[in-house]
Parts: sequence; structure tokens; C-alpha cells
Amino acid sequence: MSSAIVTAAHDSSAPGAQRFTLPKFGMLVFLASEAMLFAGLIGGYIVLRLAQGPGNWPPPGAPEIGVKIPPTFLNWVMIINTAILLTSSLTYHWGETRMRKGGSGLLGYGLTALFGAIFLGVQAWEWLHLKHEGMWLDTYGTYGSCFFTMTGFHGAHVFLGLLAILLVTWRAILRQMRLFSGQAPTGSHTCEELTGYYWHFVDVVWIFLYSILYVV
Amino acid sequence: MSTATLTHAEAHSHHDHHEATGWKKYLWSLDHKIIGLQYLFGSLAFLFVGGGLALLLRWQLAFPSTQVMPDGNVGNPLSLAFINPQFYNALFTMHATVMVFLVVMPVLVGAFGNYLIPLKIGCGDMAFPLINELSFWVWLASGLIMLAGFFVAGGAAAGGWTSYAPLSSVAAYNGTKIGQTLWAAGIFINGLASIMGAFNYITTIVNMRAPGMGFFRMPLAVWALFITAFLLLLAIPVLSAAGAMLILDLNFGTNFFNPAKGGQPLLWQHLFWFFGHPEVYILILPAMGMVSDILSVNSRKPVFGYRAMVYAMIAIGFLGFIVWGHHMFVSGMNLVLSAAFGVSTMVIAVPSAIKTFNWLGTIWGGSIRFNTAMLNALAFVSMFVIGGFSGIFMASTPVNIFVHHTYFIVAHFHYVLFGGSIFAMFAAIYFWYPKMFGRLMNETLGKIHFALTFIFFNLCFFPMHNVGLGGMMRRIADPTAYEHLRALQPINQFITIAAIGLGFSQLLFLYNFFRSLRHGEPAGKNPWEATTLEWTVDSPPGHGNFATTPTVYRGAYEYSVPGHAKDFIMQTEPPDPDLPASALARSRPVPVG
Repeated sequence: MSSAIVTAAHDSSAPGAQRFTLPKFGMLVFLASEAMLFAGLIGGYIVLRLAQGPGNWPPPGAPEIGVKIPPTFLNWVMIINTAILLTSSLTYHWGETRMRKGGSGLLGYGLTALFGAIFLGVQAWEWLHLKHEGMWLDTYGTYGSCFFTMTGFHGAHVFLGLLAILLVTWRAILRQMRLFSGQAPTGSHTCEELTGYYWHFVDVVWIFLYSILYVV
Repeated sequence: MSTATLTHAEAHSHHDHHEATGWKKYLWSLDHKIIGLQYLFGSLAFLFVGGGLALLLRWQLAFPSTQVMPDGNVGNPLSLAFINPQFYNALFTMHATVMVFLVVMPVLVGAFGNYLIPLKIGCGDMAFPLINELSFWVWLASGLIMLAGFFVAGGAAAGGWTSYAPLSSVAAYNGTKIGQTLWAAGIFINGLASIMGAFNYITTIVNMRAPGMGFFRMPLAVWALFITAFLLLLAIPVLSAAGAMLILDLNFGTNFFNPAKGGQPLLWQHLFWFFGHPEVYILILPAMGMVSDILSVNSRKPVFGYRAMVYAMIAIGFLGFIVWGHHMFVSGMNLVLSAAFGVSTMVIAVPSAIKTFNWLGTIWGGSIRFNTAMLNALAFVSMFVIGGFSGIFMASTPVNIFVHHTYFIVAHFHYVLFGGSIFAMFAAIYFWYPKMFGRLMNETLGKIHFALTFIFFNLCFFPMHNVGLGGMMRRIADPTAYEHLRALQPINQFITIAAIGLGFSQLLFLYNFFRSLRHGEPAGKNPWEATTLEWTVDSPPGHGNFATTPTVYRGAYEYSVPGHAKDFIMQTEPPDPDLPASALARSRPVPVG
């Protein structure tokens, strides 16, 4: 192992800061644990789905959520929603880049918060829509159970991430106000970096969930 | 090797926590030592709760309240009328749950992990003190939530600590929807506490070791807790996922474990045991690490095969993730798969045997100090061997099918969990008590406590092998209801008497523990003449642990080094340039800085 994986500074914005501060290292280790949570859910989903045998997933009569060619209206909604969530990772990264270069990053962070909120809103709309169609936790055997549990767990993570991003956006507003008044922004970027790791992780999980719930 | 991972800025930033005073110190302090003590006192309290539940269930087995007596009356004259079969089921379920999640895990990982890691690697506190404190309170809440089950309609969860579906997932079967839900919620919340602790430990150990404290200079206790933290980190969330599914099945009509609607009861078993088997090593690895240290100190010899010990623990940790199917041989498993799980399980015997022989190698030819800590550590080794051997029985599918769900299994896991983990807990408490409280525990009382515990433990649990092979099933409220078990009833009564003796012997420990807080002999910095960093500081250590960050020059086990006046060399002692090269060979220099 090379010397010092982590250096002293909690504040990675300090000149010469190393790649991982303690909080960033801790967050990465924590995300490994989060990954195992979703691995457990996805593993269970695979078992339950394979047990139904070919042709029975989704069960007959269940609302169609899988991607069709040509895509249905619901398909388009979820494709665009997925694109919005993935774009939010890019806007977040853009905000971080601007912040590191001395800006506030407000626009990037603000857009991320907006996209995150849109994603959750559309998720909620989809849930209500499917419930209206008769699909819920307790209908269509394990199909409804799996869909709502997995998207629910993910949605809860997005919600927590959104709260963190609102905090980050608030910090960016304060930074922007300092810039307006001609002062240089101060303070560490730890909060932004940790939120970023978490948000990107939640996005990657969605790629897996979207693939197995909607595409494959 | 990685060396200095901490600069001064870091070391100081951790000293800056405001030190709370008075009673507030014991409630809100962010100091890892106080949090360790919170875990210690919390889990000792739960130990007596779990032990009390065990005595009640043992009483029912010896004197069943439903026994049909020769005169035709129902109920043994000595029986406790309030223990009906449903309550009996709740007793053994909660006994196991309490002992696993609220005693052995928190005492070994929570208490000693928190207390020892920063002191042994030479830093001022954990990486995330606030999360550390949060983990304790979340853990305590999880325990209270689980125990709250006793006070709700239907009583506490009664489906066994494994809570197999559909027994656990259908309210009509388990008879206590709320109790079972509280159990699952408690498990989920308990998992949050474990995960908070785990990533804290990993971050601390990787990044905050003192200069010179390379990975291969860490005491084995730290290595063990490091590996355990990885197991917690990766195994616990899978149980959390399963627990969430269970709550949803019970309360929201999902069908995960409901075969009538396409669900899979076996899915619960897979998810549970994917967690459950690493959990077994979560419960024993820290014990192994601490016992290694205690054996070495009290034999005045280095740990035999230090690196082999580390690699063996890593191997055990890894293999622990690919053997879970051996809990499910009778659940309808493909024979090829069960053979694979059987073989992978037996492979674990190899690193376990490496550890056992290295412990023997450590004490071999040593000048052994038979103090209470050492006696408990030796009990750990011998009892672990017995429990390990009966484990190999179960790895073999044909034998497993014969003994599955009998008292043979109960005997096996009590030999590793009580004989292993609990004896290691006693060893660790006697050993580190002087560091924690500045006073030694009374040795005479300690030895009496050890002797009584060791004797009653074996009298209690060894006969369970016999009644198990005699065909006695686990989790039955009344053995006398079965023709083939009636002849075994005297053994059951014998076991219960021994269990009562075992339980009451612990009062002696409790008395010794609290009496020594005030009246114990003052310990000084290093009562055992040990080499590791925690013994270089005051007992108890002050806030921030080390006045200046220590520099480490040698491994953790420099005992009886030839050519030295003393029979131990502290890790902080610089190499003596006048020594011949041969004497230095055992402490290979590692670059510092």
C-alpha cells in the first residue's frame, strides 16, 4: 500500500489536498453497504421472477410497464424520467466543477434539485397511475410487491439525496451572495462532495433498477 | 506498507471536541471510550435479560406446564403456569435475538471495538465521533423496540430468531403480527447501528493509524475487528432487505414469501442465511482477535504465526459468505448444491485449525500467568474446538439431515457462542477492565467465577449433544409430549439445574465488576506488562488518548526478546542500535513518516 491514503485535511479544498478525505473515504465504504442492500432486493427479485417461469412476468392482466417498440406513452414518461435523473448527475458534477473553480455552483446545484424533484414527482405520478390501474403491493402476486418495494426503496434514497441537495443549494446561495458582494467564497466542500457521491450512487442504482424492472 | 496516515492537523482536530463533564459525559460524550462503555453497560444489562429468558425456557423444558402427570393431572407440580406454548416460543425467540443482536455483537464489536481500536492504533478518536454516538443510541432503541414485543397484543415474536417464512410472514400462523413486526423493525434498526459502526471502524483503521503502525504491526484484536467490520458492512444490509420484505408481507399484503401468490418462502431462508453465516463470524472473529492478544501477553511469548493468523481470519471472513446453504440442507436443496455448500463449509475448518494450532503454539513453552483473563481465554480455545468439531458434523449433508433441528445444533452453537464468544467477553473484560476503570478486578472472585462458569457451562450444554442425538427436537415447549423423549426428561432437568447454576454464577461477576470500580487495586498504566499502545497511557486514558501522537517502531508482540532486560518491549520503544542484528531481526524496521 502506498503511503497516506488519506491526509490530514478534512477540507479537500485546501491546496495540495489528497484524493480522499476521511469523510469521503467513509462515504465510499458506506455506499458499499448500500449497494448490498439493493443487491439483496435485486437478488430477491430475480429469484421471484425466475420462479414464475417464462411468459408469466408480468402476470396476465397486469398493467404493462415494460418497454415496447414502439414505446407506449407510459414508456416515454419513464424513459424521459430516467434521462432527467441521469442528467441531474451531470448538472451536479457541473455545479461541483464551477464551485472548485471559485464560483458558487448555484446553477448546477439548483438544476439538480429541480431534476431530482421532477423525478420524484413523476415516480409518484406513476405509482398513482398504476394503483389506479389495479396494481399495488398486494396485487398480481409478487409482481406488484417487487415493483413497489424496489422503486420505493430507491425513491426513499432519492428523497434523502434531494434533502441533501437542497442543503447544498442553500450553501450555494450563500456562496453566490458572497460573490455578489465581492467577497471570495469560503468554507469546505465536504458537504458537496459527500452529497455528490451519494447522488451519483443513487443514479447508478436506478440504471440497474430501470434495466430489470422496465427493459429486460 | 502504509505508514503515517495522519498528520498533526488531523490529530489535533480530534482533540478539539468539547469534553462533557459529570453525568452528561456518560450520555452525550462523543469520546470513543465513553461510547465503548455505553455499549458495555448496555449489553451487560441485556445479557441478564437474555439470560433470564433462557432460565424461564429451561424451567419449562424441565417442568412443562402442559405435562400430563402419571396421576392424570396436567402440569408438572413445579411448573410455571404462565409459560404456555406460545409464550415459550416467544421466550426462545427473544432469548436468541437478545443474545445475538443485543449482547454478543454489541459487547464484542460495539464495546471493545470502540474502546480499543483508537487506543491500539494510536489515534485520538474514531473517524466520525458523532456517527459513533448515534450508532449507540440507535442500537439501544432497536433493543427496546424488539423487547417491546412482550407488551403488545399477541406477545413478542415467536417464530424463532431465524423467523422462517411463512411462519413469520403470515399473522394467522405466528399469532403476533405486532410482535413479529416489532422484531423485524428492531432488526432493521439494529442493522443501521451496525453499519454506522462498521464504516466508522474501517475508515478509522485504514486512515488513522499512528506513524509506524503498519497494517502488519496492528494487534490481532484490531485486525479481527477490521475484518468483522467488512462482514457487518456487506452482510447486514441483506438482512435489512429481508426484514423490510417481512414487514411488508405482514402489514401491507405483499407476497414475497407467500407461496399461494407466487412468493418463495425459501427466499427468506436464502436472504437470512446470506446474512446469517457471516454473522456467525461477526460473533466469533473479534473474540478470536482479543483472545490472541490475551494469550500472547499472558504466555510472555509472541503470537505464533502472526501473519498466518491474519490471513486465516481473512479467509474465514471470505469463506463465510459462500457457505450459507449449509443451514438449508433439509429445506429441499439440490444435492449437487448441498455437496458444494458442504465442501465450502468444511474448508473453513482449515483456517480455523490454523488459528487453533497457532494459539497452542503461542502458549507452548511460555511462562504462563494463570490470571482470570488467561483462564477465560484458554476456556475460549478449548470450548471453541468442541464447538468447531460439532460444526464439521453439520457441514456433512447426511449427518446434518440426521441432527438438523435437534438439540445437537443447540449444543453446537452454544459451544461457539457461549463457550467461544462469551468466555472471550469475560477474558476481555478482566483484561481491559484496568484500562477502562483504572483498577484491577478481584482475582480470587474472578477465578471462582471462572471455575463456576466453566463447570456449569459444560454441565449445561454438553448433555444437549446427547439429548439431540437421542432425537430431541429444538423449539418444542414440552418434551414429555413425545413418547421417545420421555426417557430423556431427567437429562433435561439436569440441564436446567446446571443452567440455573450458570445463571446465578454470573451474579458473582456482577458483584466483582461493580465492587472493583471503587475497591479494586489501582492498576497503573500497564498492569499486565503488555506491549501495545493502550498500555502506554493512563488508566483510564484521558480525553484524546495520547498527549502526542505515538510513533510505532515494532510489532505488537515483542515478548521475551533475547538480549533484553525486560521480557516485553513496548511498540513505541525505538530500536536499540547497540543490539546485535539477530535480536533486531524480529522487529523488522519499517520506514516511518
